[in-house]
Amino acid sequence: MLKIENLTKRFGNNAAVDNLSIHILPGEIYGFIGHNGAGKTTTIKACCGIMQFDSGEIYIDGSSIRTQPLECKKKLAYIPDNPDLYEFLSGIKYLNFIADVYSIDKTVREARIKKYSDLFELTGDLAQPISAYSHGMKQKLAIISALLHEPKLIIMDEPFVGLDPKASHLLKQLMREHCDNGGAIFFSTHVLDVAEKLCDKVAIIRRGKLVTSGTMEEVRGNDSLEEVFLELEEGHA
Amino acid sequence: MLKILIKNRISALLYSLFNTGRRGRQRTKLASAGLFILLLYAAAAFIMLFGMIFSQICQPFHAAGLDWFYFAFTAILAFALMFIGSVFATHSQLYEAKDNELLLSMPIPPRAILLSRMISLLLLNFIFDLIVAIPAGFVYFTSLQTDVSSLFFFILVFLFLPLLSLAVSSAFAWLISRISARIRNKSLFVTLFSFLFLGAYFYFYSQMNNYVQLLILNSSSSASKVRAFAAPVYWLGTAIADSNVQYLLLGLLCVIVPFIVVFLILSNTFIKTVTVKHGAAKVVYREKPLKVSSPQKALLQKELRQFLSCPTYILNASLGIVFIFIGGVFLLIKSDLVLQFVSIIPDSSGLIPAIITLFLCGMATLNNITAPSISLEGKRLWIIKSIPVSPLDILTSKLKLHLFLCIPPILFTAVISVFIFSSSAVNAVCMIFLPIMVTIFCALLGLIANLKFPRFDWISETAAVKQGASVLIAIFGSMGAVLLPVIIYFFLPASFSLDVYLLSCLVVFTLACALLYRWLTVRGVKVFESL
Repeated sequence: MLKIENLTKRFGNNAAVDNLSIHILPGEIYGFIGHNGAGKTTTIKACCGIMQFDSGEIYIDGSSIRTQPLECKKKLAYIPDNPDLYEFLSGIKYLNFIADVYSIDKTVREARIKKYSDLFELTGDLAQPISAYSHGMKQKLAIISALLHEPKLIIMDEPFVGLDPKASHLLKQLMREHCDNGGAIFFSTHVLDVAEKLCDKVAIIRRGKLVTSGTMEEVRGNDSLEEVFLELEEGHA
Repeated sequence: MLKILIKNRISALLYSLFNTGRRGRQRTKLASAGLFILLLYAAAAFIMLFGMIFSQICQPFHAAGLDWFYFAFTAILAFALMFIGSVFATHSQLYEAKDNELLLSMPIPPRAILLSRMISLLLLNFIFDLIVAIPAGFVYFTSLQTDVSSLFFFILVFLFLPLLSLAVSSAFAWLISRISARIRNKSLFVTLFSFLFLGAYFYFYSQMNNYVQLLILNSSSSASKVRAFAAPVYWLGTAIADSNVQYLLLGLLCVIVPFIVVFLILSNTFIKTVTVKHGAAKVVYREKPLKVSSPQKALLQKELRQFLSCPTYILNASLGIVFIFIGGVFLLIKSDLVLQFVSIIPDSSGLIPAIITLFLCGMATLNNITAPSISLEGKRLWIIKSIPVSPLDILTSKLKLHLFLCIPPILFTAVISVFIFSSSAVNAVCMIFLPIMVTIFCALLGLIANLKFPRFDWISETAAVKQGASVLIAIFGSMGAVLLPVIIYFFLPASFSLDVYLLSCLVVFTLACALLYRWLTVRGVKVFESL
């Protein structure tokens, strides 16, 4: 579903991502872990076609993000680490705008908006301008907007930040359901407990380079993910 | 603490001037120099304008023994310019800055936050103050015999005068903030209020010459009125003219005390005012059928909503629309008067269409809706970059907004002009299509300038709308593009047909638009992808 091959992205002389390769299959929840500034967000943005990269290739369901960006963007959804949304729109107008740009049928969009906004308990606030939303509400709205076109691949950058425990639990359920239905999820997180419980596979990145990756069992062995991560960090320090 | 905050404000100001806003990339030396020259040019133009006014009134006032009134008039003019020039910036800097809450969460006294902002605004006021004081002082002290103490008092008065302007504009900004916090459609309120304010300003500005003449003719009665009803202005004027220490102290007290009072009131209400939740009661969502639009239409609607939500954007980017519309309405209502006036002008049949075309083209250059449109995406740029819509469609939606808002008033006024002046087919084509082509040119130039010079690091939208290099390039570039053919025309032989010239301009602008559009579709798309 997502194939990152030898991805390299430089900012000046500094390689933010260095020859990174990751392969995510349908049905997988893939965690992406690393310290601050390790290159997680850069990788994620490159996968979504938001940021251009210097070398390597990224394929979304067989299409290259470099040569077929629109095809790729139709198949994926991106949830950023900070939900900066159009504050001049109301929640419902923002969702309708997203539905319009993904050309979602009228009845389908109405049904999905109702379903997800009810689930995230945001329905009553949809008429409010986004400027009046709290961080958590904006995060919920960003998640709902990402689910509207039923993407095959969801790419999320720290999706649990700002969510209340109930919404966080719900998101985990939706992530599992999405992958059980043949979709895939690639997300970054600093919450290692969540990654450990939720992810099928995990990749640890340090200074732009892949340190280790594989199934959760392969990566952590008999230790906890936290212990493995800290050991790897110390080992490379 | 205050020092750090002031340093921070000045750093932010310098950063906004000398940084491109793209991942900390520094503006090149050439671009910085260009920006500096543009700012200098704008200041010089104002100084020249005021210099002309002061040259007219200096001798008559001196001859009438009204030197004090000369300085009082200078002070009034400086105050008006400072107030008009800074009131909107005061509102956005004091009450709408997005880092207010962050700073309030730190162990910083609110009074220090307020004071640091007021000091940076004071610098802005001082710049406007200098624009009036320099020509006034230059004209007076170079043309008349005066003593040094008079010059010293002059400097003192105009050094302290910004305090009064800042006090009044801060109080005014506080009032706007309090009213807008209580109403639902804040942007509509601020926009209407601002347009009324600007209308009054432009009316006054258009009548300036008449007022100056009236002032010279009635200088004695005007002076006695000022003396009777605005004693502090009289004190300040007399302090300079007669080197009167007592009046100087009285006048400066009248300037300093309001500032202290306003500062104390504002600092006591600062937290409440900046943290008040804007908007009225919560609107509960009731399900209703959603309207479906094409991606392109949805993008255009989004652009329109963004435009309408930001009064600063409306005011700074679409003044031409208002002037063109007012011009059309004036022609419609006062057509008899206009025709009567035109009949006096010899050979007006050929000249009038050219004047109308020039007016419409000139006003079209005041519209720069596309120039900050990419910068305004700010931290939300990820949305349009992650949706499955081509970059060209995204850029076109910004162009369309400019054209959809600017072309209808041009058509309205141009068509009215064609009918009122019974224009020939060639004149009609020029009056209608040349301003439209100039509008397309301005839209493309603004968009391309913003692609090349975007700034996404703004805290307040005002920075994106007013301070971006793209806005300056769009304004001066389009004005230059309209002025250049006018200048060239004056060097052509008198026998050269005006109709042919206007048609040639139409062809040139059409070609320029085609070239700019070509650049947008080929290079512009790539530049957008790399943002």
